[in-house]
This record gives sequence, C-alpha cells and structure tokens, in this order.
Amino acid sequence: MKKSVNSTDEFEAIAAATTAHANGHYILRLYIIGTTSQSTRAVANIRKICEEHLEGRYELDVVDISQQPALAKGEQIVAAPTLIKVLPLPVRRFIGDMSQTERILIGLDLSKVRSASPTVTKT
Amino acid sequence: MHQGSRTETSLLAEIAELRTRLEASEEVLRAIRAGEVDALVIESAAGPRIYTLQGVDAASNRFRGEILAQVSDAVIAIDDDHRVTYMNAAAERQYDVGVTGALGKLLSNVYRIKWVSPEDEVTAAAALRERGEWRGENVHVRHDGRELRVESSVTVLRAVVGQAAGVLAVIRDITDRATAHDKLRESEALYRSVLEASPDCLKIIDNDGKLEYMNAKGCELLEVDDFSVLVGTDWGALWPADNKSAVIGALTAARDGHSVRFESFATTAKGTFKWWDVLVSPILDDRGETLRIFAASRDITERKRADARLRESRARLAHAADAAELTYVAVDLEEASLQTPDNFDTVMGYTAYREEAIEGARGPQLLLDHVDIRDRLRVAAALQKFLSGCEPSGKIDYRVHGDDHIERCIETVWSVDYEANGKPLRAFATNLDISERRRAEEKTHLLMGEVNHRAKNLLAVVQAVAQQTAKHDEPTTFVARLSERISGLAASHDLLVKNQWQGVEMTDLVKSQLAHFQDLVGTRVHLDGQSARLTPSAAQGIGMALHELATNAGKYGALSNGVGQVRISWHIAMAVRPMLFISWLETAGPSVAPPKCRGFGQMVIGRMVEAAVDGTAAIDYQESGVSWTLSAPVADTLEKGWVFPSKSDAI
Repeated sequence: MKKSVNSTDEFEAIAAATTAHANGHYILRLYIIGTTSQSTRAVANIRKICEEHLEGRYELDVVDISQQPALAKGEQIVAAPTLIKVLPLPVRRFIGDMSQTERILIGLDLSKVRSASPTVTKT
Repeated sequence: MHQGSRTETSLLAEIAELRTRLEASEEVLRAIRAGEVDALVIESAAGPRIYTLQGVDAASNRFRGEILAQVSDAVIAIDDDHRVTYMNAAAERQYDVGVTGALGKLLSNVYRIKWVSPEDEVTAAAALRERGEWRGENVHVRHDGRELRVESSVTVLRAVVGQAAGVLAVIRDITDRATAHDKLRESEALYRSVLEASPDCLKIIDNDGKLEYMNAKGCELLEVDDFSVLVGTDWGALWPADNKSAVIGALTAARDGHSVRFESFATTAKGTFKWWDVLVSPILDDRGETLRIFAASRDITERKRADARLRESRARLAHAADAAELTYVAVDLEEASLQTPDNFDTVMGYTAYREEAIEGARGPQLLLDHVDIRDRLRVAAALQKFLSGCEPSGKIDYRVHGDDHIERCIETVWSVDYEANGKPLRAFATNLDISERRRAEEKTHLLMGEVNHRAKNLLAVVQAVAQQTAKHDEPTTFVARLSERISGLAASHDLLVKNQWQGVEMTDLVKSQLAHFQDLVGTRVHLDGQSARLTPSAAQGIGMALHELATNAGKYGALSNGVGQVRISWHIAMAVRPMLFISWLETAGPSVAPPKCRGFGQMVIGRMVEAAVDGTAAIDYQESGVSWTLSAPVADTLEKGWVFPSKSDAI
C-alpha cells in the first residue's frame, strides 16, 4: 500500500530511510515488558544477532513499554517482545524472544537461504 | 469494464491486507504457543494496556525482579555468552550506564574486571564451577576508566533442567571502605614501624596494668627472648618493691588522663641491673577516655654511671680546688645552666650564685660588679665568649675587689667542649687567685731594677774609692787599703742581699763592719741602740763610714792597744722631723792628735756619708779618743713603714 507524503518531516524520514537503505544501515526497535524472562532473552538474542551480522551498521532501541507505555502508542504493538525493523524498508515485525535466529535473519534479509514462507509480517 | 477492473484491484488489495493481518495473527499465535511472549498489548482510549500471559511463577519472578530493582547493591545477571540479561537501578548508578543500552551487550561494555591477584581469578572460576557460587573482592573498571573496589557475591543461575544459564552477581561498591581500610592499615603499619624503630622500650598496657605489646628493642633491652610469655603480665610486678609505688602512681595518673615521668631502677629478665627513665601516658579515645596506657622506658644506666663518675670527679676537683685556692664556673650549654662550687666565694671574695639558668643569669653581672673598673671591659668581652662557647679556649687575668675590701688578682682559664657538629656542649672556667704570684712578680721586677741601680752605684763608689785611695795612700799600701775598703762595701752589700734589698738592721750593719773585732764586742766594743732598718743607700754610706772608723781605731785608735774601748750608739729623736743620731766614741786608747792632712778616710766619714743620708757628720780628735757623730733625717735614712719600736726593743 502506497502512502502519500503529507509533511516535511515525513519527507525527511523517507529521505533518511532511503539513504540508510543505500548504506545497508538498520534501525531496529525492540519493545519489551520490564525484566521478564522472555523480554531479557529477546534483548540478549537480538543483540547477539546484530553484533554477529550487522556490526557497525545498526541502531537498536530497547523500549520498555511497562515503564514508557506512551512509546508504544500508534505502533500497533499487540504482544511483547516485538521487534520492528524500521529501516531498511519495508517495515517488518517479529514477535517472541528472538530465539529463532534463522527466521529473524531471513526476515531481516540477512540470510542467503530464503525460506519459502518467512514467519514475518510486512507493514 | 473500468468500474469492474477497479473493484477487482480493490478486492486484491483487501485480500493482501487480510493476508498480512492473518500472517501477523499467526505469528503472534505461534509466538504465544511457543511461550516466547510475555504479554499482550491492547490499544485503548487510555493508551496501551498490557496483559501478561505467565502464571504464578511469572508473577513471582516479577515480584523478585521488583525487589532486586530496589536493592541498594548493584545486581547484574549475564547469560552464558556473558551478555547482560538483567541490571537493576543500583547497577545503572554504580556503572553509569542505562539498562536499555546495556541489556544484551557483553558485560565488558559495562565494566572490566581487574583481579587483585591472578590466583583470585582461578579461585573464583573454580568456586563457581564446583560450588556454584563465589564471594570475594576485586576491582571493576568502569567504561570511563574509574576503578571501583567491589565486594561481589556471584551465583550460577540454573535453568529448569539444571543446566547453567548464566550467573547473577550482587556487587557492593566498597571503594570508600577499602580506601579507608587501606589508609588505616598503612597508618597502623607506619605506627608499628615507628614503634619498632624506636631505640627505647615501648609498651602498650591495658587499663588493668597488664602488658599487651612491647617493641623488639624493648625485648632486647629487657633481655626478654619471647614477649608472648609476658603478655598479660602485671607491669608493676616487673619493678622492685621499693619502686613499685612510683609505677602504680604513674598508671593511676595515666588512667586519669595524665602523663607522668619518673626514674627508677629494675633488673632485666636475665638479672642485669639497669636504670630507666620512664614516661607513662594515656592513649585517649574520641571522648577523652583512657583506652590504653603507653609507656616508654629509656635505658639511662650509662648516663647514671656517668653522673656518678661526674659527681666523684667534681668532689675530687673541689678538694683539689680548695687546696690550690682554685675555683671554677661550669656552664652546661645544653641545659643552659651555670654552676659554681662552694669555694668560689672564698677565692673570689664575694658570695656568688651556686646554680642558675644562663638566661637571665645574675652571676656574670655580679662578677663584673666586683671586677676592677680598669679590667671590666676586657672581662665582659671574655665572659661573652665563655658563656656562648664561641671560642674553644681562652685566658684572662683581672683584678677583683671582694666584699672583704681585699683586691685579688684572678687568672681565669676556660675551655669549651663541642659536639661533632660544632655545637658547644659545655664550658668550664677555672679561677685561680694569683695575687701572691703577681706580688712576687712585681717585687722581683722592682728588685731587678734596684739591683741594676745598686750595681751601678756600687761600681761608681768602688771607682771613687779606688781613685781616692790611689790619691791619698802610698803605692805600697794602695792594694791593701783598697782591698779593705772594698771588703767593707762587700759586707754592707751582703747584708742588703741577705735582706733582699729591703734595708739593713743598724745592729747588723755595725757588727758586719766590726767583723774583725767581733771577739771584743761586749767587752771593749759596746753597741747601744734601738732597732732601726736603714735604707740600702744609707746602709752603704754608713757602712763605709763605720768601716773607716773601725780600720782607723784598729790601726791608731782605741782598738790598737789592749785596753781601749769603743762605744757605738744610736737612737731616734722624735720631733716634727724625726732624726737618727749615731755616735762613735773611743776611750782609753793611745793619745790622739788631729791628722795633719785630710785623707780619703776623712772624706768617707764626712762628705760621703753626709751625702748618702742627707745628714750632718762631725769628727772630734780629742786626746782621750776619737769622737764621731752623724745626724740624719729618718725619712732619708730608714725604710718606709718603719715602725717606732718600744723601749724594750732597744739593744
């Protein structure tokens, strides 16, 4: 679904995203619930994946929605932990503790072997 | 057609949208089924609402997590890959990191471990492996380089199946405590090293008087091989019974917060007799209460022996000084004190201060007050040098007017002892009364001048006698006459020498000139006169005159026959100007006739003797015998200080 550009900010975001994409730079956002076991596991797992496959070209923001619920508003978060690949486009979401490394890599377009049906969702 | 095409496109888009939502729902469902989801988030008008999916265990875990979050110590959990899986607020503060930035990162991004010793790391790893826990201290280096001394309690986290799933560390920052402890330890080490470095016997005693500590030097001085046998011993019991009261008194005073110093003797563990200078002081706490008692004992045995030797030496010196009319002034420049012995007053003629401090001492001024004003500046300068010790030695003599109004001549010789570094320690001055010596020197000096003067006079007289004898006597009798006259001179001279040129007694002079007729003294020669001491000049002139009269009497007068007599008499007539009268009267000798010509003999008994005594001589040649008289002023004839004797002193 194609969106129209409604403001300068959106334009700048798209321009930045285009530039980031051209550079292969990833912006990821992980939504967790406090220090629960799945959340802490998700943090550790995605960090590990990023350091191994995206070293030096990623930004990972960890958002504790139990502390800052406002940050989840409008992001269509239905479960925690949820990882959102903001950039490069397309935006993709991953649910769970990020322990299924191969599925995550495919969803992030980082795996050479593409699964027939990646368990990721497109926004 | 166109409308139908748009409907078809719209339908396809809706299908795709539905498919995406379905996939999303399936993904959520999959994750829930797999147990990978903690909570569901439902958008509401009030914002997102969170519904957790776990049961009682999860709630319990969350409860524990909330507790850990409030623990004041840092709590950090890591997984097997050393990635941070948990960090509480205290850990964030302690390491200056945010939990969201640290989670999932390697622990080394939060801090780096610096082990105190390499063995500690091995020990910790072994403890975690074998016991599943380790507790100890090490250093954590924060990302900004700051080092924290920490006390860690590390526990292995087990998964449900019992496998290790990382570790949990509770970390307490003990930097301040450790630093303070280190400082305390350094301070204690310093104090201990100071105690051990002391050359004295240092002890710590509890408030009950029991020994707790003694430094190594103390054990050595007390000849104690093993201090542990003395720990807990009553310190007072180590002292002799006679001195125990001083020790107990000092302990009591120290308990009351006072320091006490005393000297006492005691024997060591091996029976060696020693003297001790002991300082007992309280060790106070913050409130001023006595915690312990500190005792420092200095071995002063050698000093005591030296003191005893010094006392003996001083006593001997005092005896010797008394005998030699010698006194002294001792100056201790270290203790800044002056000391004089008892005989100082006798030698110097005034009462001095026995002992006083140099600062403000009155003794030096008292001395200057008694020193003759002519010598005062010199003595003041010498005193300054002596008291300051700025010159190693010196000597000065000066006159002192004692309180007894006697002038004494004092010779002071001083010397100063110095330390190796040149600092003066002691000054010692001897004061010797040299009045007698000085008088003798002056007398000798006068005598030498007198002898010189007399010798010149005598030679002049001899020269005149020789010339006159040659002029009046025949050449054949010249030698004999000259010899006789010189013998007469020599007799008078002998008397003067005998009396050290202090004058000649009239009787002695007459007898010496009548030596050839000494057997007749008392029978034909009569002497009659009072004691009168003639001056050297008068003795010489009168002696020559008597010699001429005696020679003439022996040759031609009363002593030339067997019966004639000679009476020599003299007396002093007291008047405004006292006069000495001498008469020579011959009787019963051969008839006398005045000489036809005046020879040298008449010159001697006339003009020469008159010149010598500033007197008047008269000669009368009566037929019955020669009569000769001489009158002369006492002032020109007799020694000064001559005291008129009483009548009974007359011969």
